[in-house]
Formats: sequence, structure tokens, C-alpha cells
Amino acid sequence: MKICVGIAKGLTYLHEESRLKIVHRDIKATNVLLDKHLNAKISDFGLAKLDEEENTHISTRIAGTMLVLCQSILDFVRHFIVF
Amino acid sequence: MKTGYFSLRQIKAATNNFDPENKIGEGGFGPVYKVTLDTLQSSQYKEAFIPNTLQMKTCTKDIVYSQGVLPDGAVIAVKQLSSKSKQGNREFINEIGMISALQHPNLVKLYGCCIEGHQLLLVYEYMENNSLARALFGKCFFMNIFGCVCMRLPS
Repeated sequence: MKICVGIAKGLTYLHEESRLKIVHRDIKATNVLLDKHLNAKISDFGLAKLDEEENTHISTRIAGTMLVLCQSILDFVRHFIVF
Repeated sequence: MKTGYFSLRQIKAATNNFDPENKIGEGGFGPVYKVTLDTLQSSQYKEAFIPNTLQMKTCTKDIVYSQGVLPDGAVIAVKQLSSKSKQGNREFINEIGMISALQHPNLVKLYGCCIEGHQLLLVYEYMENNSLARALFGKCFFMNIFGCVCMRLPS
């Protein structure tokens, strides 16, 4: 629970609170690090992008890790098969 | 927040020339090494006494930086860009630019970087409990992920 809240706080800071609005684009379990008190810290900003205020949406090519993308696609397909 | 610069000699001395024993993991970027600040600092002082003007120049800069920013006794992690890595120079620069502009308790801290020849290195604060993936799935991450994907498939 504490870890989830930590990740959410980090993402809120990136998306809304920081001076530069940033989209991480590669959030996954391997990119969330834990310190000795088990506080979650987001790392790996190699794929991150700036979100400029005048843009209402950002369109780029698909980014992220293949494995995570595959899982998301599987979940999406499963949704249609079940219902 | 300022991002400092480390020399390759310093990092090589601190990681014992990228000794596999100091390796703590491998990310999309490449291998990650654990280094204690003491070894990094002592290597700086050793370097400072080498009678070479070029080295002296870089070393004095490094010492100023380490005294100003790095807390005493802190353990740091060094991320090395491997030649096999898919992430390129642009992503390395992207990472430095993004993290050095941000500071939050839930974002990993970047202490500095090193660019020398073909070596691209990032110096971070050390995380004692590794990643969330390691905590959830253990060391054999890919086998567990494979298992999870199989379980998710509709039967």
C-alpha cells in the first residue's frame, strides 16, 4: 500500500506538481526502486518526454518495454473474449 | 539541483574496475554497480596527488563537487551503458536532463554522470531493497513474468 501511494505521489509530481510536466512512458516494476524504509522511488527516465502546456495531447510512436506492452495487449484481448 | 561530473578513473577505482562482485543488477541501460562513497572519495584524493596537470584539473573539480553535494558515508549506485544496450546516447542525455531538473522523495536522486570515450555512466543514490520487481517476483524475474502471462490467458 505504502509503495503504491509512493509511486502515485511520484507520478503526480511528474505530471502536475513539478515545474516541467513530464510523462515517464516506461513505468513498470523493474523501474520502481525501494529504499531501506521501503519507500518507492521512480527511476529510468530514458524514455521520458516533456509535456508542454499548450499541447492538449501528445502523439508519439508506441514506447515502453515489449514485455509490459505484451501484457497490456493480452489484458485488452482478454477483455473482449470474456465479455 | 546541480548534477556533478565524475571522472572515469574515479568510478573505475571505486567499482574496482567494474568488478562483477559490485554488480547489483542489469537494467535496460546496462549493468548497475554498488559503490560506497568512502572508496569514491579515497580514489579522488589518490588521484589529486598524481603530478599530472590534466588530472589535477578534473580532480579539484570533483573534490569540490563531492564536498558540496554528496553526504558523508552515502552508498551510491553506478549505472553503466553497455555496448549491447538498445538505449542510445539520446536517452542517456534525456535521463540526465530530466532527473537533474526534478527533486521529489519518490524520484530516484541523480548524483552525477561520467562521459569519457565510449563509456557513459550515471551515478545514483543506492537503493537497499532493489526494485519492486525483485521484491514481487524474486531473482528469476522473467520466469515469473512468463508464469503470470500464462495465468492471465483466457482458458
